[in-house]
Amino acid sequence: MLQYTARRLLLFIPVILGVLLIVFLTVRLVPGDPATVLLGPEGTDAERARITHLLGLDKSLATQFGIYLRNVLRGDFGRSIFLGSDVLELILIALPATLELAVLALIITVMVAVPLGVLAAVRANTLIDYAATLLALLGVSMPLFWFGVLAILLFSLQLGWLPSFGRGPGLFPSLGALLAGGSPGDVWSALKHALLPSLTLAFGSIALVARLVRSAMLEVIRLDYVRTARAKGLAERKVINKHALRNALLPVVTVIGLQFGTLLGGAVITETIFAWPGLGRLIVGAISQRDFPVIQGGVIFVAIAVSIVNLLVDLSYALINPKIRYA
Amino acid sequence: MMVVLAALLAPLIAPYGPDQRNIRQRFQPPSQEHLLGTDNFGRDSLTRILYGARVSLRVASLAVGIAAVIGILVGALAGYLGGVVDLIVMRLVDIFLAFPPILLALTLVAVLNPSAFSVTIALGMVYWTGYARVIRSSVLVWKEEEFVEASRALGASWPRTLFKHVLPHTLGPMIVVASVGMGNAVTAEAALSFLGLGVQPPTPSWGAILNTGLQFLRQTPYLSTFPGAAIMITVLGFNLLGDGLRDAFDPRRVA
Repeated sequence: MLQYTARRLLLFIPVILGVLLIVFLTVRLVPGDPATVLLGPEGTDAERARITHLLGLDKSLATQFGIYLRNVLRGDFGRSIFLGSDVLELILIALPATLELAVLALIITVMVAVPLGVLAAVRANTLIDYAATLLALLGVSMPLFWFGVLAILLFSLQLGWLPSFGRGPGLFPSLGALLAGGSPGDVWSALKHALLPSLTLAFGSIALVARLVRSAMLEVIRLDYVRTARAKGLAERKVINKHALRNALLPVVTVIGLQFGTLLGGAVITETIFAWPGLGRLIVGAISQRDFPVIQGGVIFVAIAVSIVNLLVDLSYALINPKIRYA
Repeated sequence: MMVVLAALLAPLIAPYGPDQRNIRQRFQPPSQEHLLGTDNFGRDSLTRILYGARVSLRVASLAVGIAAVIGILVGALAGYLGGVVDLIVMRLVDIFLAFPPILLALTLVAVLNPSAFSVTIALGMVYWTGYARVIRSSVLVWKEEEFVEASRALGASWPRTLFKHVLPHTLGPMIVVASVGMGNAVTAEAALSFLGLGVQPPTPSWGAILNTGLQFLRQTPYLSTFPGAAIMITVLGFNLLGDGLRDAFDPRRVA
């Protein structure tokens, strides 16, 4: 196990380096010269040369990358061109909001998709199964932003149940305040604000995971040890939950972990629709304004976060299933 | 099942293929005499959605094409040559996979200045990894076959062996991946346009129409519903196509 972990960690490092390199190069691909952009057309050549030197852009590409790398390792991602503040600061402020959405979406996914998949598997080829499968297929095909817009249409505008934008007091802060003796009203408001966006985010995942649970369960149910359990006279429910489900869930857990990356991608769109002040909206806004330090920092941050989660998922899967370690 | 799928697919995809040149965009005050309503500029929604289909399909197929070509080349080389090449290639794949696809596409489009062209390139650069992996596994399996050995024994150069002998066998599963990929590409293009970073107006794109609808959600709810439905139906069609093809290629099927 230790060997496997070491190997995976070793592979991890060049990947991260590669990520940094690609983002760095991509941003440098931008046509146009930042010095000209900053100074406008009236700048003289001398001023342009000075700014270029100040920005460090006159050094070789390799040197620039080296400097960037060193800065990143120190936690310095540069400053936003438009907002002036430190990029890392901006990211860290926006991060909890996105995490709220992602965590809520994951919870919703598990709570909805697993029972749904189990149900569909247990009642395979019945009406319930067909309905669930159809729903899952639609869910996978439906674009995220359409669901969000429809949800706003239905729940906010028509029914007026839930707010359609903004984060309200925020789930994490309000929970923290609650523990410190604050009012539960804030938590409720935060939840109401968070419900639609996280549901939107989770929708595609629910469909995917439900399908997966269903096929995993179907495979496991046929296996011999399930027959044994039944032959022993165990109640059907116990058979399903205790024996079949536990083993079927193994690949599912992996997929759920991997969904984190997809959720972060979806968060970009969801946050834009719901005006949710998270990392996704930060990056999209930065892209619209061509605020490259923020774009760079944000994308790298997300990529590293996703890589870490994937690494953890891989390691935990190897922990649970010893066969993988020898691959 | 297959027949049902085929029947489902034809009507789904057909209306989105051909363009309607006799319908032109007309500027009229918003009203509901048009089948799907008009948008905030008075343009007929139905026409825009139909034209949007052309845009989406064109971008998606080109993007899938680019992704497939890159993926096949890279994956085949990695699988066939193995060793260091394989190691490097797989690291490259991992690097690209670390980014959530939409995010990467967004960044690329931002860098290249948003347009239909840049979206196509960006999507191609994002989705190639899937094809690379599939081809690589396929090649790894097929290169152990005897006729490959025979080809090498006869003195064929390795590119020749690879392309003429091994590759044709691996392309089967590719078609399945490609059809599902089309669905993904359509959604991604729409997402980018939705964010304003895809196809630029006045060219219609389903995502962009949806976005406009969002702004006017109170007055004109129908503006958003139809392009979204169009996207979903198209993606569904591609998914079903992929499923059907996969079943057709399944060697376990009793023909």
